[in-house]
This record gives sequence, structure tokens and C-alpha cells, in this order.
Amino acid sequence: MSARVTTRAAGGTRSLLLTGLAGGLALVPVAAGPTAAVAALPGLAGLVAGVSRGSRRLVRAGAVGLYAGVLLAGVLGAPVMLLALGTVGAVVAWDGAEQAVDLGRHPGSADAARPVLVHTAITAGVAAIVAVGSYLLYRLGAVPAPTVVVVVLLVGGLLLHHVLVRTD
Amino acid sequence: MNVVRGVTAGAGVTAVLFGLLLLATPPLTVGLDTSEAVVSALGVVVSVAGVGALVRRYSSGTRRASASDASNRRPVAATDHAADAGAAFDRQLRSRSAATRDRLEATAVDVLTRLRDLDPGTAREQLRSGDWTKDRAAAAFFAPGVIDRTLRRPTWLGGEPAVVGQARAVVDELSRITREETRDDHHDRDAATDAEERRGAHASTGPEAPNGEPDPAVMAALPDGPTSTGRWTGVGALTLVTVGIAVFTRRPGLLVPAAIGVGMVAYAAYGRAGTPTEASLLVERSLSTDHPDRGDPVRVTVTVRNEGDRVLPDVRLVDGVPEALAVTDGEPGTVTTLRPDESTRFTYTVTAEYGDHEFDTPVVTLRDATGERQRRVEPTVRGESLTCRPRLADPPGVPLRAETTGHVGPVAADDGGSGLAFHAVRDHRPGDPLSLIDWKRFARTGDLATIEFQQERRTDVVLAVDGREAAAVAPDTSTRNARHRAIEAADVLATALLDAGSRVGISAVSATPAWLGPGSGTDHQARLRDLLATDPAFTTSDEAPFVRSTYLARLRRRLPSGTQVVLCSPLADGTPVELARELEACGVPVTVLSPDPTGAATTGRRLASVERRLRMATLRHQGVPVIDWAPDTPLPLALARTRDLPVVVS
Repeated sequence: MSARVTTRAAGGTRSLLLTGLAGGLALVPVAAGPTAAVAALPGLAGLVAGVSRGSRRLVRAGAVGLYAGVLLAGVLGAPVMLLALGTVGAVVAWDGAEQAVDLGRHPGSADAARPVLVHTAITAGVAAIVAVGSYLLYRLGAVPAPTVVVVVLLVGGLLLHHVLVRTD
Repeated sequence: MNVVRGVTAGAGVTAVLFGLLLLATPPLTVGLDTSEAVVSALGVVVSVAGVGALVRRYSSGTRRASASDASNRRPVAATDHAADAGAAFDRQLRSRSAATRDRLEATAVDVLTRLRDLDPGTAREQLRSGDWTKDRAAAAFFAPGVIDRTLRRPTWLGGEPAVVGQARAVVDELSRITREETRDDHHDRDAATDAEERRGAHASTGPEAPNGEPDPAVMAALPDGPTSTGRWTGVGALTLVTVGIAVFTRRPGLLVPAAIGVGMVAYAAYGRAGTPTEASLLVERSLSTDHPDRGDPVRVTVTVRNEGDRVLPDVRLVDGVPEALAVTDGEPGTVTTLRPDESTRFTYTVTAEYGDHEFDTPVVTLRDATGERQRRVEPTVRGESLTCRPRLADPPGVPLRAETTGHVGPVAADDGGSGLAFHAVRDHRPGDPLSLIDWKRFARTGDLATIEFQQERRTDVVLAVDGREAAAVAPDTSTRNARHRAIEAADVLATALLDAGSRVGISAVSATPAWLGPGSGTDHQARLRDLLATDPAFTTSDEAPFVRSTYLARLRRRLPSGTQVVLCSPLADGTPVELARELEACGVPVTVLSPDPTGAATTGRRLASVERRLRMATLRHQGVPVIDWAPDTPLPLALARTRDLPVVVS
């Protein structure tokens, strides 16, 4: 038996490893609230299976599960630092998996690990910077939140929602 | 529209960031607090909006994915560009067009009148009453009174509408009737068809056979400008959900994941690192051999070079493999990352096919580093073309009609005279050569009689090859199309006939006229093969419509007397049938050699098969012999199986 893992996603073993590592990072907050593993572990399994089978649906469902684990850990009171780490892990794992599966449908992509790695490295870098920024912003202030803040967040969120959902 | 969306997205990002800032800076928000209930309600609203967005995103994921993945075309099969026989009907069936009903009714009436000897009125009546078949699903399609009790998956579970299932049943029933009534002695062929049909029926249980190939219509639809892949939409929706949950559960810590989400969406929308505005790519192609034989593997090496000054993080290229060439090894595409002046190379192998084949410009799609935007670019191509001319050995015997010219040749004609094979004995006439007198009879009876031998005459044959677009059909995407097979057949026949001393000419049944009068000799053979391999009449798509009467008038003017015609045509439409009948009516003996372009995997293909069998039946009924050549049968075998032709030239 060959040590090489055959996947239907671009990059083969390396894409699988990448997804597994980043997904592992997303499991960090679960340590603070073990109940969150209910969503996070199946999510990670779905992501890895999605990459291995080249299924976009599995990758997306897995990513949602993984992130749901992070959210659940947050609701259960996981420390903010861990939540930031977990979010970065989930984003990078999803992005790498999505890229690998997307490229995997293209002719001639069997050994193409490089576009996956380059893409994911850039995303990871950006996500790390954004996470540090968000964490610092959070640390600068204190809570609880008054309604006006919620309204501002809500309006912003709905505007984004409008733009993002209607990408015709 | 883009400006409006850009502004809206900008306002959204600003609002969210401002909200987070307010949240983080308590002095700004002193005295703004309101009731708990309102806060909780807002949290729920935002969460629901986010989940809604996520669900919509997920449910539309497949459609969006296929549009944005236009670069993922797989030009692997030789016949990708050639429609498969019956594809139009399959499309009509999917869109439940009214034309489906008309076409099915016409074919059904045709089958019933032709094969069950009904007159058209009775046939129509039987269709209306449902008496024509025992299959209730098929009967219900035409007869409103018949209740179809077939159990089907409901449409909301992805099942097909009843009318589509009934149409499929009609085609299956017509196919069965045609096969039973026109059963010839090719039992093995029928067995093969049945097996294929079983496979086809199995594969087509869903509304669309899930073969994983992108729809060509979707692939052609990619616009020239940059388009959104919609990849990050889900992240935006999840961010909304996070904000909602954070508010509802009063867990400000969750606003950090939300802020990261907003940051990532902003990066996707505005970052555009490496957005491919313009890229200068050079594609060079080289072939392992320029003049291969048919069936030879040809290795194609493609080098892609980034001649621009920007990094291209995501380059996806699919080579424009010519329509007729099947990729047998490797994949004709690549995905890569290219720094300025960097190049990459990939190879694949195609199987050579007769003709001059120009490679199309490769389809190149670039994506930016976020994967959010993609753009199609036109690379500069240093192309190659591949020319493959026929060369052939070991020609088979060609069955022909008994028409011969007055010249001496290899075919034993039906007239008595000098020759080798015994023909008849007749009364002696003064002047008969002494050597032909039957001396034994004279010794026995005392009567003089003369032995006649079969005269050996020459046949002149014009091979009329169907080069119309309508003939460029195939049973499925992995089989050579019938036009190529007709050309191959013409080449095999020409070689065999020329070798046997016949004179052979070529005429293209095509809007573009191509003609080579009957002739013989090495030069003629070379000219003939050149014409078959490279004349645009056999390779290009129809620009002008094919006018049968014009073609016929031209052909009759050119045909020398005593010439017979072999029409190489898949009989994919009615034109070749009319052509053969009209030639026959003018006294030109016609034989039809028909490469079978129909399959059984889809309803449309099965219908096309029924229609073709009807055409063959019509021709045979008119006295025109038809040689049916199935895709998996070697041509010499198909020729050898033909028993209803009097002469075999070999």
C-alpha cells in the first residue's frame, strides 16, 4: 500500500494536512467548554472528509460545524483569546479546504498543492492580523453593550447581508 | 450597480466597526441603555437574518458554483463539441417544451403506420385511446383517459414530473416495437443495445444523469469582465449569526469572532490582493509528432508563462483540444501560481484522428488571492496544428450493387461472355469461338452449344460522404462522431475499391461542395485521401444551408453513366433518405453505409435510435441496401455481415 493519500481535491495529502492542522486550531476553544465538541468534532471530520472526497457540500457543512463549536464554546464562556484563535483556525481550515476542492475539479490539478498553499497562507496571514486587531479593540474597552451599539451593529450587519446575499 | 453595492458594503462595514468601537469604549455610550427585552429581540432578529442568508447561500450553492466554475470545463472527450444524437430532444424534455409532444406523436404515428400497417387516422385514434400499447405510462402520455399509476418520486423530493416519465415510457415502447419489427440478423448488436439500454435506464432514474460534467451551456456563459465567485458570502452570514448570538446571550466575548468575520469579509470585498486586472500570459504548445497516423498517440506539451509584472496567485487553464481528438492520457489543463517571468508546463496525450486539427485558444481563468473575484483572460498562443492523413493496409471486401461499366474490370457481371467463371450454356451461333463450344455435349447429343462465362467488368463508384453538421453526432461523449466515422468508412471503401481495380470518386454531401470524379491510380488515391482528410466540406460547421435539389442536380450532372453511389451517412435526419431515394429514382444505384450515431443512455438518444431505424426501414423498403455500422463493430466486420448485396469487390 502506498503512503500517498489519494484525494479528489487539489494538493492531495498536503491539502488534507493543512485542513487538519487549521481545523485542530479551531478546536482550541473547545478545551474551555468541552460540550462544544458536539459540533466541532463532527465539523472537523466533515471538513477532512470533504477534502478527501472532493465534496464542496461536506466542506461547507463541516466548516459550519467547526465554527458552531467555536460559537458554542464562546456561549459556554471560553476565554476571548481562545475564541479568536479558534475563529482564525476555522476560517483558515475552511478556506484551504474550499480552495483545494474547488481546484480539484479542474483538469490537471492532481498534484497542484502550490495554489492551495499560497492561497491559504495569504488568508492565514490576513486572518491573523485581523484577529490581533479585533482582540486589541476588544481589550481596549469594556462591556456591557447598550442598545444603541446593538442597533449600529444590526444596521451594519443588515447592510452587509444585503450586499453579500445578492451577489447577482 | 457595482458602485451602489460597493457603497452599501462600505456603509455596512463602517457601521459594524463603529458599533464594535462603541462597544469597546464605554464613555461614548453612557446613558444609552434600554430594556433587556429589546436587546434580546434584536439579537434574535440578527441571528435569524444570518441563518436565512446562510440557508439561501447553501441552497443556491450548486447553481452558483457551476456558473463560477466555468473554467472547469473538461474538454476530454473527442466529441465534446459535437452534439450527441438526441441531445435536442433531451433538452426539450427537461424544459417540458410543447415540441416534445409533437415530435413524439409524429414518430409514434410513423412507427404504427410503417410497422403495424395502420393508416395514419387509425394510428392517431389508437394513440388517443391508449390502445397502441399495454404500458399504461406510455399510453397515458397521449390518452387523457388512461390513468398512469406508476409510482414516482414527488417533484419536491427531486423526482421528475409525471409527463417526463410518461414521455420516457413512450420512447421505450416505440424503441421496443421498432426493434421487434425491424429485427435483422444482428442479434449480437441487439444484445449490446439491450445491455446499454439497461445501463442507460439505470443511470437515468434521476431527472438528470449525475455524470459530474459541467453543462456546456453554463460554461459558455462566463462573461469577459471580472465576476464574483460568491465564496465569502457564507462567512458574512455566519458573522451576522455570531453578532445575533452575542447580543442575545450577552456574551461580548463572541464579538471578537464576529469582528474577525467582518474583517475577513472586508478583506474579500476590498482587499483584492492580486486582483487580475490584466495579465499577460504566453501559452506555447508543442507536439511529439506533426504527422501521425490515425490512432497514434500524440503527446502535447503546453508551457504557460507569466509575462506580466504581477504575481498571479491562482491561474486555471484548460487547453483548447480540437473537437476530434480524444485525450487518452493526462489532463489537458493545469492550475498553478505564477510569479512574473515564471513558467509552468504540463503534458497530455491525444489520439490522432484524420483531418487538419487546429487547437483552440486555451480558456484561462485568473482569481485574486481571496478567491472572491475571477476573470477570464485571453492568453497569447503560439499554437500548433495537427494533421493526420489516412494511410491504410489490408482493405476489406466491399459489397456493392450489380451495376458495372462497359469496361473490363474485376467484377463478375451478370452478362455472359468471355471470362473465367461459368455463366450459362446457350445454343451455338455461327462465329462463336471454337474454344467455347461444349464438345462433351456435342459428343453426347450431336448438338452444338456454346459455354458462356461471366464477363468481368469494372465498377465505378462515387462515395457520397455526409459532411453536414447534422451528421456530426455521436452516441455519447466518449465515442467518435458519426461524421468522422463516415469519412473513415469512405477512406476504407475507396482504398479497397481502388486496390481491386474500380474507379472511385468522392462527393461531399455538404453545403460546401467538394468533388473528385471517379478515377484510379496512385495519384488519384493520394488526391482522394487528401480531400477526405482536409477538405473543409467535411470538417467545418455549416455556414450556408444544405439544399438537396441543388446538390442532386450537381451530382447528376457530374456522375458518369454506369456509376453507382455509396452514401456514407449516419441517417441522423431525413435528408440522406430523400437523397438516396431521388438518386435511385434517377436510375443511379445507391447503397447506404450508415455509421450508427445513436445510443440508449437517455430518452432523446433512444428516440433518435427509433427514428433512425425507421429511416433504414424506409430505405430498405425502397430497395436501397443499408449497411448498419455500430460504433463498436470494426468496419470490415460490418461489411462482411452484409448479405443482401450481389457483388463483393475484393
